[in-house]
Amino acid sequence: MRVKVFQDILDANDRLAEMNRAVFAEHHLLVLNLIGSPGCGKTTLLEKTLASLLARKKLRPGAVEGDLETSRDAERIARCGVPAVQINTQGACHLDAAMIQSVLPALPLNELDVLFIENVGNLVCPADYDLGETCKVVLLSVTEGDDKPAKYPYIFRKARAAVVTKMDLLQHTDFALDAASRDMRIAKPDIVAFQVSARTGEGMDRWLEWIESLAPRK
Amino acid sequence: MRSLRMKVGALSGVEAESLRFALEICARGTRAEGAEVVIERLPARGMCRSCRGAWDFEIGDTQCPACGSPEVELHGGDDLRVESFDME
Repeated sequence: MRVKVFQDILDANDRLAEMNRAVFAEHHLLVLNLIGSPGCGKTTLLEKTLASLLARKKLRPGAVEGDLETSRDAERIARCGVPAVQINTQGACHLDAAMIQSVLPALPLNELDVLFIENVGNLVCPADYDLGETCKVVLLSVTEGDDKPAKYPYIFRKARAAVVTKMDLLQHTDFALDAASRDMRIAKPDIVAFQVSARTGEGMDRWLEWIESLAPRK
Repeated sequence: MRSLRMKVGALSGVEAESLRFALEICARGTRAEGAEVVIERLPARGMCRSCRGAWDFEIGDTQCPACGSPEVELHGGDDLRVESFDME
């Protein structure tokens, strides 16, 4: 006897993600899921972004920090003076919707306009897991090489925006911006692309304006 | 359970042989123990915006294999689902 199922393996996660999405909508929150390789500069970009958003005074930011085992990143973010919670995945290589749901009570959602979720450093598994975010943002540092969009097209297709980081190091690498841009657009023709250096501030204004433009009006 | 049929997309990030290995271990001691795991790999499709050609996209493709244009789009290949199982 054959039993037809046609069930997506990720259904259970997707249902929880929709519940998170409803909570975010209720609080008029913009939620960005930051995804990139280990060492691509996710935490550094986030630190700089949080400090800049606080200084610009248009949006009130908060953060969820995903990490395998340590609380190092959450401590860095907490020093920025924004509400932040840590999720230790105990070795899991991505965040899932249940993990996000479990930490939401620890955040003052009523007092926030934008919530950044820093995923675990990985370009593969986080692409599959909807957390209920408004959109995914994929980071790619110039020191990783311009072939990342061709090697990992799936995460670029799932992301609304891509940020090329560590632009201050571009001149010391053979990273070809045009090749990386071309391959990003193969994966996602309308991807919004940024080129930034969190260290020098290059490109930060356009990135911050984009975030501010996405935030729902309260 | 005699067999389990699954579909896995070429871009899903799921390695069919690893999935099969994990399922066989998880099935031990359950009614699925010993069931054949049939995994069908679904390709992603590349579509060329210049010549309108289409082909099975492989990771690393950066241009249309027919006309060489880089103006290509990527569709599908993100599937990961259970299709059916056969019971005695």
